[in-house]
Amino acid sequence: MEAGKAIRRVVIIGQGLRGWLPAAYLAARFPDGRCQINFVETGGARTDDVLLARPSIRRFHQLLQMPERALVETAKAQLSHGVRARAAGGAILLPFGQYGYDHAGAEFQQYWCRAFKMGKAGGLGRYNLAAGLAEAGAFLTQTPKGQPALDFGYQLSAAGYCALLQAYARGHGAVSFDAADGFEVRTDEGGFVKTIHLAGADLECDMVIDARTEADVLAAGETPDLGWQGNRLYMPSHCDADLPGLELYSLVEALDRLIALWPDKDFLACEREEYNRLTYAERDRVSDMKTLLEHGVIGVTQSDALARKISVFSNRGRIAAEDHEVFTKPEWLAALIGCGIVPAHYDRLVDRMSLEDLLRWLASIEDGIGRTVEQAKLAARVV
Amino acid sequence: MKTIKEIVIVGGGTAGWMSAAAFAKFAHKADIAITLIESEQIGTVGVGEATIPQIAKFNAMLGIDEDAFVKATQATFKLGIEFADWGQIGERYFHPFGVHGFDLEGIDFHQYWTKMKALGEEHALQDYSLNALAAYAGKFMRPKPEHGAVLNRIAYAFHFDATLYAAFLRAHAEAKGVQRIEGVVATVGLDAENGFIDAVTLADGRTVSGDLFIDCTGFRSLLMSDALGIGYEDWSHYLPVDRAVAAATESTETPLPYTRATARGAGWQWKIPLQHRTGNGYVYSSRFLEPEQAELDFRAALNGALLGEPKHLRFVTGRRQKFWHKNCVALGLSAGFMEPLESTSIHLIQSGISKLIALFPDKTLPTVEQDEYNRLLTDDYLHIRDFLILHYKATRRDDTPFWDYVRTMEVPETLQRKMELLRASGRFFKYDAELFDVTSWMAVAVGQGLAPIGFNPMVEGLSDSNIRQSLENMRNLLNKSVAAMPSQEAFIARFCKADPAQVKTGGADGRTN
Ligand SMILES: Cc1cc2nc3c(=O)[nH]c(=O)nc-3n(C[C@H](O)[C@H](O)[C@H](O)COP(=O)(O)OP(=O)(O)OC[C@H]3O[C@@H](n4cnc5c(N)ncnc54)[C@H](O)[C@@H]3O)c2cc1C
Repeated sequence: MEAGKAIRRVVIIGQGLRGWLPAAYLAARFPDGRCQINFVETGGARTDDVLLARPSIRRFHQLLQMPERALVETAKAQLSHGVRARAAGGAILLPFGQYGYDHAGAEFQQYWCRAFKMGKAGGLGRYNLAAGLAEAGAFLTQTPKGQPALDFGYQLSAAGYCALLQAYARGHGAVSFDAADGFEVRTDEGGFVKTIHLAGADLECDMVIDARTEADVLAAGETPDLGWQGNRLYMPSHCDADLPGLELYSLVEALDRLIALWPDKDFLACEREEYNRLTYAERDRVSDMKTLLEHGVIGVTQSDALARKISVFSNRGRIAAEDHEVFTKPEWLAALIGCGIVPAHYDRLVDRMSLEDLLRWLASIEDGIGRTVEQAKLAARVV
Repeated sequence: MKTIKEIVIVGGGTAGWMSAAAFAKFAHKADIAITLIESEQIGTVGVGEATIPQIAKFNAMLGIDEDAFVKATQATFKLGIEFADWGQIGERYFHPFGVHGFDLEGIDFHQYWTKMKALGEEHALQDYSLNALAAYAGKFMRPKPEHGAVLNRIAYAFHFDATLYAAFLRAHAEAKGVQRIEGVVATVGLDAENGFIDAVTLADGRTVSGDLFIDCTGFRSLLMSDALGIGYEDWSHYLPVDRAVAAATESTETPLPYTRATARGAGWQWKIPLQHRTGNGYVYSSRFLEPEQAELDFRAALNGALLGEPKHLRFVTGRRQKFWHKNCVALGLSAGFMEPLESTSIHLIQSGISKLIALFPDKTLPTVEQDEYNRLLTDDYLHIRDFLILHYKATRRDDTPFWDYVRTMEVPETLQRKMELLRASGRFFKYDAELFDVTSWMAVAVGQGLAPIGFNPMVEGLSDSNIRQSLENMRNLLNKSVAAMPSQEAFIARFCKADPAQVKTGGADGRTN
């Protein structure tokens, strides 16, 4: 690559956390100052004070080498073992961890389904350690031996987390500019952004990351966009109080995609298109989950993928995964069951286990989880 | 719930016996009877000797002891494929299993390699593959965590005698209660109301009824195509080879731990080393070459003495429009064939079996499950198809009309996009269920002259000298590891040497249909 083509100046437009997160991310990726990160901070403030971070956030924290202590002290981090989603029929917990264990070629819910249909098993949630911990308000950072696999994210104070990211980004060379009084985007004839004009300064840029929310873009009289056009990339704006966790998730995912496709000044169309293709796939998978939660199974859906998920699950309790899923299988399972679907049949493989063995096995899983949750509760109290 | 009580498998080739062995594994406790009908008179294709690493999962699922399996099938280990004369006559490259190099700072290895290449470094991509280095040194050992992180990266598959593999699986399946019937299926009876298959009738008048029928009758596709009328999607405009001439020869060298695929005037020729013999075949397009000439060309390229007359095979590349229809599932060649270049057919059988087990129906045979099965397998076929087409499209050969055709043909849009991304700056995004990953795509693209022009500018995060040093360290580490490995010959001698008494059997050994 010719040196003159390298991206040397990135301008981020946004407010608070939505801007400081990309700033910190990019500052970590360009530790040597090869690329100057400027942040144009628009007016307005967040209204929410608590944020959910899905488990994948931990990769981002690794990139920043963010100390756990800072998270706890500054961002008031608490572990989280699931998303509490609001659905048409009431709250549904989407757990960060497996239901029971798959066994002899069949998934756990198949075994559960057989017993449940005979009235011999309780709700599926009893067989999920993450769900048990989340309900009890207890936490574990590691899966105890012999327990269903467990993962965790965080519950964070929005202001505290923003302060952390801001300090990191500043400490690594990012500079912010106040644009509460407005700013102007100046493009060349090809539609590429050349400068961001502020009251006190003109910021030249090779690339713009527009991290404003959809609402802010609309309020500015512009048309919101989800993807990457020219040298301007809009950060996804999935933000929904009914389904927490998506904002941080989609920001980090978008930045991961961007880095894997990091351009030079040629801005190849095929790379942008690939970014957009992946971005739209993510949007569609999120929208499937939202539709399901909002409208339940009887809701009309335009999405083939969701229709398939519902029918394949209704029939025999299987999760039909798509490419580029956002939510994990256990989360889909929780959502589908939570919407009141009980599969019509279960997998025949399950019949290989005698009923007696099956019930004993289920009871032992439930029991193990119950005891682990109790211990975790105790430990929490001691600490 | 009306459950399936009887599964009838028609066909006793690799697909038939793989299915029988796999279904027997769970059926025998679930009270399902499995019958397999095959005809010695018709015979099997008898080819299909190279595999990919996924087969280890299948064997493990069956609880097969790997050494016993290697012995019983005269198998050798496969670390990858050497492609000769593909990009241009005189060129060669290695497509390894496993991965190239080590990623740095969260950026793919091949990005750094591309940059160094642009700066004049001479080391090829395969110099960073443990598999490729081991293959060329004739070495092999299985990965084990206690051998350390580097040696644990070995990925391997097998070359085996297809006929012996079917026999091995047959013994396994019969021991689990599969009933075998010898005979030719003459007619297939359909239910007048719903069009399901009721029963098949053999030439001698016997009737075999069942709830679920597995069509493993090979290219004939007796049930799916002939009886149920499911058509075939022809891909020969993308993959124009449609014939093969195959024969076994005496080994002239110690078996190598890799397959060789040499491009020729109207297709390509394989060479697959087994313990007791070498398998060979010339896969070509009859639009560009007559069978007589193909056989002459084929013979001229052989090293060892023939162990039988060459056998001629015909096929059409493509896939069945549905893999599961009513109460019939097609597995193996009856489901489709995309040519053997990357040894994907046996894998597709395995993939079909495991998806069928995961979606196993009851007697109501709901279409939801069929649709899902068909969707998933169609994805499998399309992903593999695109990767195979890449081998023909990415060439500079213009020495024959065959190569002119494939070099200039239009390719599917999905492949076009992948090639563009890879070509521009080595970008690659794998679909979740896609079989071949960035290692494979880079190996073939780079090996055939479609190397990325640029690289991800993120690699500028490391200085050139830093990258150069890292790459050198990698090469040293890999070479040191390979030096510590035993030869494949020694490994086989120690753990899984086949009984030489079996030498007389063999697949493409000249027995005609
Ligand atoms: C040239 C060539 C090279 C190949 N190389 C590879 C490779 O390297 N790796 C790989 O994975 N795959 C390879 N394959 C594919 C591989 O050979 C097949 O996938 C595999 O052998 C499965 O074949 P099958 O069992 O579907 O069909 P077949 O082996 O043809 O078996 C068909 C069976 O059906 C029976 N049958 C048919 N009609 C009737 C009837 N009317 N009544 C009773 N029985 C009947 C036959 O007796 C036989 O038992 C290759 C294929 C070809 C053509």
